[in-house]
Amino acid sequence: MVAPELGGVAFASSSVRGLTVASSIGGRTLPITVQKIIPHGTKLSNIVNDVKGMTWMTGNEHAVVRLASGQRAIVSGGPGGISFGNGQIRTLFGHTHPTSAPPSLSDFRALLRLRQSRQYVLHGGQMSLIRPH
Amino acid sequence: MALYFERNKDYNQGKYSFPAFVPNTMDVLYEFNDQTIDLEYIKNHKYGEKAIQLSVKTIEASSPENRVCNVSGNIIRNPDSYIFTGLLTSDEKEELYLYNFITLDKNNLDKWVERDLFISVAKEFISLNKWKDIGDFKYLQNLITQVK
Repeated sequence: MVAPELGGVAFASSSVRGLTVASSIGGRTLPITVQKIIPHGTKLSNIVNDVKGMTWMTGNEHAVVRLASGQRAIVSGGPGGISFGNGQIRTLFGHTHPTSAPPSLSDFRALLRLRQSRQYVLHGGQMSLIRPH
Repeated sequence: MALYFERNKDYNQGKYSFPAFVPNTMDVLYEFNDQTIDLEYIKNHKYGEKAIQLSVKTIEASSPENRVCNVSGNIIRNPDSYIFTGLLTSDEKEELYLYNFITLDKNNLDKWVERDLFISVAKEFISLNKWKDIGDFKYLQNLITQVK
């Protein structure tokens, strides 16, 4: 049986609880590590550059989230996945694919499941904006 | 990346998480792409073991220490110079299979002796309707454009 999955990145302000951003070497996801708290007013382009650079340097998947505390942060996981504990984050804004693979079916399904209108995926130096279809 | 809500703290037990590693929706391994799947399902699946092998290979080949240009052997330090083909096809019978996991420094493209052949093989693969993207981003076509 295939595990129920959502996939993708939220750009709406929906609450995300007990969420796993899966896909890791060995089949295990790694819990999030907060890499940077994003100061209020930071330009999106700067956030994108940071996430891109961190992914390139480490080879780990990164995401931009709103933590339970309300702060926006860049977090990291393993080479292919990030695991979020129950209530650890409120919103998942974006993520990277260190493997350079393009947005996946999971990413598109997440839009529908989380009722979001769009999401961005950074992959191999490209940034894709995807919408439900 | 696959996302799912944990039902309890043991929810991950007995499951395997695949990275995003299959760009072609027509590939037989696409159902594993970016998904978290029961190990038992994988074990009994015709392509389960192959999916795990190639997903691990994808992560290894794209890791920072392995970003070595296939043409010159130099480590690629500039992300804007990096081209990684990834898993183009899991079918060993396809000529395109030879171009899986190729790493290229854009500065060395002129020296890549298989450049024209790759473009030809990739174009043919597309023309034979063996490739389908899930979104607006055309992965294989983009690779062709970058290599040209």
